[in-house]
Amino acid sequence: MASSTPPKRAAANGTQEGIPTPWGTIPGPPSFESIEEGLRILALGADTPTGLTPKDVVWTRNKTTLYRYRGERPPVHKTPIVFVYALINKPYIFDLRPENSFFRHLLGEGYDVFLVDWGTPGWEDRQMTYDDYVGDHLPKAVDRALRASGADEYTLFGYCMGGTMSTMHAALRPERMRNLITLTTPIDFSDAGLHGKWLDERHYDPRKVAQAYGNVPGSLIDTGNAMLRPVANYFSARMTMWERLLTGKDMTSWKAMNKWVNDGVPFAGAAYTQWITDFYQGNRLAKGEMTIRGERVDLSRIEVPLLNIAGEKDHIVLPAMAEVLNGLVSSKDNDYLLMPAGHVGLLAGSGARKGLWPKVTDWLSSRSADRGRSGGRSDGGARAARPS
Amino acid sequence: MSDAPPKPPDPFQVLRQSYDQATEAWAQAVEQAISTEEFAASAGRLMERYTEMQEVLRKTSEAVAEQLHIPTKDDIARVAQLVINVERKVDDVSDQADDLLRREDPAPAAAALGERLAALEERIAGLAARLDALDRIEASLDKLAAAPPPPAPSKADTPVPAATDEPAPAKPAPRRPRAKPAAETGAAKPPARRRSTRTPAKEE
Repeated sequence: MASSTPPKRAAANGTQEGIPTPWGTIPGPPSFESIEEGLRILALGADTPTGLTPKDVVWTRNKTTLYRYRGERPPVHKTPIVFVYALINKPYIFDLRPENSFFRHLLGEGYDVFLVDWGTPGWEDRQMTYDDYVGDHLPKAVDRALRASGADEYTLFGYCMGGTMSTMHAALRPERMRNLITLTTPIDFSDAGLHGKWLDERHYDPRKVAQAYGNVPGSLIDTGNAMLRPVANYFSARMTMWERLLTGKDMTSWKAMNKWVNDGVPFAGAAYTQWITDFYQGNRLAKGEMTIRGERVDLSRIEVPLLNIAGEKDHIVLPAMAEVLNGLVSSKDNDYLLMPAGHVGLLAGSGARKGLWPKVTDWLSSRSADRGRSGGRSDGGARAARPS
Repeated sequence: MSDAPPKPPDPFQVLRQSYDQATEAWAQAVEQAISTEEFAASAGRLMERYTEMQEVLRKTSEAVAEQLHIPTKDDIARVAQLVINVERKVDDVSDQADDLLRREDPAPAAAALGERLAALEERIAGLAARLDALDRIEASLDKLAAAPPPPAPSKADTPVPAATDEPAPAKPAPRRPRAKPAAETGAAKPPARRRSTRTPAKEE
């Protein structure tokens, strides 16, 4: 694998003067390695090791895996955090690079961290719906996380579509839930921006797409998201790459983020149809008409402390789509946080370490203390876990 | 003082500035174009044609695979589904076994049993103490019974008891020493006398 930082080359004449380029003066002529690296990224995509925090597999069902992350010291807070990611893209965004990992931050703060990874659906999973994911897999995963941690209560943390799924779970199975945190979570789809326009039922029938593909390819979903800002995503991103390569800047972060953006997983066909028809076209969750396995999802049943976070510059989930949640739940301890960042930058951008992360841990610390019930790491869970 | 020729403009700087300005303008123009109803309708139609083509390709490849006796994706998915079902059953059984083990966890039962045993031991110790006390009383009574009777007082000294309906207190009978239990002596326990429940026939 080529080095992430292209070698800097001295000016040919030995002076400090460099070569002017559209990105400023570079120390010397672009190295062959830099150009080769740029061409390789354009052809094959960026690649760099990601998701490096050690973790154990606690439980699996079909493609769903529950992981428990290993910190350098045992958890201090008795309430474990169960993370739920979306059915699209991969959840290593929580643990992008060792120096840019939300999970490492939480482990360092003494939290017990679990992650529900939905995996990559195969052809056999094309009929899976939210009834399966939210009605079956998520409650089981939560149960297993509680068993493994030995705790009686847990905090549920959902990101993007994972937040929507977490919210539905909180409404359907509120027992044993201590806190709910939703990050850039779409709830009200009445005005979903460009996505709302493109996915309008007059123009778009998701059933035909699901019928044709079985599982909707990740690349198609990624294209849909990239098309929201086509110039920035298709043109400026490549210009930034060349700029970093030719000026000798560290490429690790850029490559990790670029890899994640283009690393989409297929969306199970039936779940995709449900996502578009029930949420984008029908707005059934906000209207209180959504059902999971025949049970109505009543968001007013959520009474646990809620921290709902949205990004001011988020063009995928507009702040208004998320903000409505605080008004629909019955939680008395109910916070809405609007942060000056975009959909992904909020969690894994350069400002996340001083922005979102401490805000979350500050909010959680007073809400994760032992309430006199059983707690602590259980040997049973550790025995059941196996290294991944 | 020399009149140095003016420095020619840096072509790259010009390029950079125009790039920055152009990018912003393009982005705005493109975003405006893609947010129209016409774009949404066109994209929808394009997507529909594309998916139709995909479906034709899929069906064709399935038909070819069938003709060549090669398992199709559906065939493999059916096998995968069987595995998933088995995995689900194993998971459910594992859950039930776990629940059972938790319910019948020997640790709490053993602790409760220990507590009960301790309470029993305490009661037995109390009973033993009482028995010892009873033994001491019995020994004292035996001593009293074995002692020679005091000399009989003279008639003149004997007070005449007042007439009363109460019977005179009975003289305690000398107590026999307690027999050791059969287990200690090794003697066979005499058979308990069976109480007949049969009504004897009347002799007429």
